[in-house]
Amino acid sequence: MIIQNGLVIDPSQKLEKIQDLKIKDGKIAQIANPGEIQAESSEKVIDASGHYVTPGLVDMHVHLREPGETLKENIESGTRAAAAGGFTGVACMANTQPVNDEPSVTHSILQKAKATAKVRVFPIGAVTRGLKGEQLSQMAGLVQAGCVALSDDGMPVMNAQLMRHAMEYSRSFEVPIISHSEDLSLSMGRPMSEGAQSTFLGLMGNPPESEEIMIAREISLARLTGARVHIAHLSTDLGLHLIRSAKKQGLKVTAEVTPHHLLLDDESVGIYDSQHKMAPPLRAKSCQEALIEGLSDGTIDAIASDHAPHDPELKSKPFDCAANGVLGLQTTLPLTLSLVHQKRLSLSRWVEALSTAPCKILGLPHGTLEVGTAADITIIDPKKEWMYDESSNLSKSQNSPFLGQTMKGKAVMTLLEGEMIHEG
Amino acid sequence: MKELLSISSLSDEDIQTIFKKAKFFLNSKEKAYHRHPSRRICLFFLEDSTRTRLSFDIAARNLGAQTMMFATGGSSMSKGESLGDTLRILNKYQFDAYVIRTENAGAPWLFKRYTPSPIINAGDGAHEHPSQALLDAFTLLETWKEIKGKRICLLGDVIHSRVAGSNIRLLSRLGAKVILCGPGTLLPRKLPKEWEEHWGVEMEEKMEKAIEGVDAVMTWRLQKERMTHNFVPSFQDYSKAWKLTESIVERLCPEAVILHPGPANREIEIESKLLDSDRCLVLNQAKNGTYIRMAILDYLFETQEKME
Repeated sequence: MIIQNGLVIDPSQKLEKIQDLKIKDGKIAQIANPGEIQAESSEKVIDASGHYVTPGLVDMHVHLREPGETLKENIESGTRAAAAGGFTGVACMANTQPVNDEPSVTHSILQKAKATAKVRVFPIGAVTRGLKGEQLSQMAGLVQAGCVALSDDGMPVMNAQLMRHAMEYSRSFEVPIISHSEDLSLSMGRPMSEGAQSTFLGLMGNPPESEEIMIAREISLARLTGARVHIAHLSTDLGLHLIRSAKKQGLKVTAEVTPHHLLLDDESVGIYDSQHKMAPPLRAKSCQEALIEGLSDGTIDAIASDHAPHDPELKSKPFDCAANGVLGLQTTLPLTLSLVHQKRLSLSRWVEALSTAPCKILGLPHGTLEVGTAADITIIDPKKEWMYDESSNLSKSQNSPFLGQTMKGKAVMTLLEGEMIHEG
Repeated sequence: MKELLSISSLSDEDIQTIFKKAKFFLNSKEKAYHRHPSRRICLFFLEDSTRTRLSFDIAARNLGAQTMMFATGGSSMSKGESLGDTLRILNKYQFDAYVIRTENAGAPWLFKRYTPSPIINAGDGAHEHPSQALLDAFTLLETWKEIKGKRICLLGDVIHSRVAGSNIRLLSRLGAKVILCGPGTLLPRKLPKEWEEHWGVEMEEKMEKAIEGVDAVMTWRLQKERMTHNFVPSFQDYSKAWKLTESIVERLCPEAVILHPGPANREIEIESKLLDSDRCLVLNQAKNGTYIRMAILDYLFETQEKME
């Protein structure tokens, strides 16, 4: 297969120009100037004029809900949405039922993925058994079984000694610990960010400091242990400053941000719209602005969707009781591309944040178009407009604040090892 | 007025109409006005309430309407029967209005999705309690010609108080300068821009500073559960710094009237002697509650009839 005339963007090779790209035996075979690669007689040729050709996007933070909550989502439906959203790989969080805290669960996830998944599935194991924050999970076994990172996402490890041990024990396995940074004793499970808007709505607020305090702890422990720590779904300017300074000190700290924290602020909650409820909550406009800047300058390494399907019943409760979380696999690409359109994010930084960086953080041999690597490729039409609604949404759930909106930018083709897994 | 969800959703004209109607009911000799005999009102109370519920009940009956109670005191909508399912069934009973009280801020807007009938918010979490603010302002207007230009201190547990939530909005809109006072744990971290910049709402932790020279002080019940989460160390300790007493009032704001929605914790947020004094309007508030709620229901049904 030859992909012709596309703007090939590969941050791993600092490449951003119009090129032809040849795929053979599921691998990238050649990248050359337009017209230089001769098609063999029966070879398929794809015209990618006006499109971006990027390494397959990888979402390092999704909830596939399988095993256990397959009415909300399963590996098949979640990865179908992922492929349509331009992703060739997803890392799935451990808060399934049962929790992915021992190798047998990891094995079963990978087995199910092999049978039903449209994209690569990279399981993330739990830090503690049952995500209870009491005892370490079977970490060596989890990593040997195929887990690419460890995280108690959603259930922050509150005990600092336990987190220290998690970092020290897992250090030799060379997987990052992903921290959902929230000091629960300060956030108190409160439903929105603390500020003018929470006062206006009469809702108790979760202060941005609950994130800052925990990020400060994680950075201290990263320094103490030398372990790799990745901060999930950064939502505050306060946390961003800490990460920036930790990176200057040379600590192994990385971070991700979600599309919703980049695009929305706490005023988007409007009159108690639970589609805008997630953890961490949407923050003040100043945080949103700071996060865009942090992503642009590389302080924030990656974009991740935190795709979190929920059934409608859990979202139709009063705001303070409604479930946290939003869908993201199909909307991450267009939503974050809007920042490129607005010239607030460079094209190469955007691709890096969605592909090269997450792969590097998770130690995956993807996120690159280097010759000889697997041909995981996303072809993006940056101008294509499409409606994200109930019929185009491929998730089993409907909890997105962006439903009913016109999106600009779409993965028109997603290739996994040279095989087309999505087109349209 | 098609509904009463919050003070924010009322027009200035709505507010004046409610006051006018309440005044009419108050000054009339007859107690009952069977203007709306065919109306059926559901009092939907998912949180304990005595006075508000009773007051709406009396108001509705005075207007000749029928009331039905749906009360599940103490139960939370976060558990058990789904709110949506409950409302779908209640809808079949064809109520002409719902008066609702919940522990969840914003619940009235959620209700709207399930019923076409108008909703009166009788308190949603720590958000708003519009009929209370309307009766408070109405009570003040019995004493004063107008609220414009007055300084009014709201003293107590501001962040958890829907009474404060509605009064800040209403009194500010009527032109008062509102000062919020209480311990730092019970004041909001940040005020909405409009409150601060447009209305000039202020926060002051020191009671003596906050009430100096004010024309009215409103305080309300400090709830016991505030101690379990360490918002205050104890009732007694709170009362040492924020209890409103007759001598403090006489010294710092001798002209001030005192409001309290009741029931009071005597000697905790307010001195017993002050509560029982002439400057305290607590009984006027209780009396006016019925007339304000009659006015609200009458206005609502009148609007409905015009549309029918």
